Amino acid sequence: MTLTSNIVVIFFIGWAFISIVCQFKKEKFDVLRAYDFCGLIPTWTFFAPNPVSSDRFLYYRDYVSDKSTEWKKANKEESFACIDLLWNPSRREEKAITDAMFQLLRMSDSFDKDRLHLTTSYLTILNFITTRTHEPNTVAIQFLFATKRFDEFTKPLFVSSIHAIP
Amino acid sequence: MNLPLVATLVAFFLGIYGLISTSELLLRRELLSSNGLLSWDIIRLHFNSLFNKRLLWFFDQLCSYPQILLILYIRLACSFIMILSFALPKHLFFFSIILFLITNLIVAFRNRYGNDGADQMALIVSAAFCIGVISSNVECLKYSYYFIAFQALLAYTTAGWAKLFSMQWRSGTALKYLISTQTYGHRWLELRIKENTRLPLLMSWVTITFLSCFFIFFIIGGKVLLFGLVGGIFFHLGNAIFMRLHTFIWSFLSTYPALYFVRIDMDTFIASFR
Repeated sequence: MTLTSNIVVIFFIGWAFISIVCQFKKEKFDVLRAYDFCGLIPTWTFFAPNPVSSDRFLYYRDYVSDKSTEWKKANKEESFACIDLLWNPSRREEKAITDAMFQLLRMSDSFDKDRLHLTTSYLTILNFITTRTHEPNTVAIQFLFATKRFDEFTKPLFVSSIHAIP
Repeated sequence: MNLPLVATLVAFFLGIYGLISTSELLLRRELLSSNGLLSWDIIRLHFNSLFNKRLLWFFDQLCSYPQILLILYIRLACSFIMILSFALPKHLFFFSIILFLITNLIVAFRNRYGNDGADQMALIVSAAFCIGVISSNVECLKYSYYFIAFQALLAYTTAGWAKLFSMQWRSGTALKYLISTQTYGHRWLELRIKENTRLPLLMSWVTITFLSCFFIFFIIGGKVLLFGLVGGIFFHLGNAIFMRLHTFIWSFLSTYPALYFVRIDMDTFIASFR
């Protein structure tokens, strides 16, 4: 074996070992994931042990002077099409919203409101809501996460602060 | 199943994955703009405390809009080259693998939201594959295949056992609710599940058994492994049809040539001692 081969083997063994240990959800392994900016440490649990069991929706409403509008869905629902088996551009947006929502929900338990407003997930969603269609003369906006299982009513999970828009 | 054939096949399936995922992003390029869901202006805030100004400036040049579009176009071109690698000069294939990995890393780094397991597997396979290819060493290429095969086995085993230890999955409840969601569900299957209450239980246990025992197919090898790989194709096809997880089939297919090669290589090694 050459020096290159030895280095490559050691590298792969190290990566494999980290991949195995990080499948166990332990806090002490979070430090490894904190520096994994590209996602090279895999998570292979896939919908387990706690799978997605309900839909999560992002709503927003406008404040026109001191009155608020009804809650509106932030992204349109795409109906199923056969082409989705091969190509589905809207999927990335849906997943991004869900990922940001999940991250914000996790943080909302431990962060105070001021700190939460500065998180990437909160700002990402706020920025996204700002670009939605708004009523004329809207002065402020607010967003809401809700969950709905097929046999239940829609339940709010998180309500943001009211943010003035320029 | 020789090393170059495996390389061609891995590159082919990775290329298809790259073609689909990159074209989807390019069509929805507004997501990547300053006003989009994946705005770099906001995502970079996460790195303010981690990187110095010079490093942030460097990432701004790569990840800002519209520069990120150039990265995506390079990734798209590399995907085409990898799909057609069997008919193209080797040096072109060599550079396309490297650029595919670099662009994959940039996109994965930049897009903190919206990635899934298919993206992760494709990134890991392309990284390992690239290391094997650029080392220009037959042994290193073989080791990269072993690593890719390992990741595939780890993925299936972890997915299976995580479900095995979940009461929701063992009872069939997990699948019942999952299929009823708009995000991952399918109306036709949802109605079938409502008509037949045993169907989610059966489907759950087929999924759990197949995934948990996938490594057994590998250990036995030969036609049993081939059966397992064909089963895997149908499993991912089912996920694409009923859960719209359409890129998983390509990123996981990219591991199958390595899986098959590694098993044959192990047989050859064992036979050499007899």
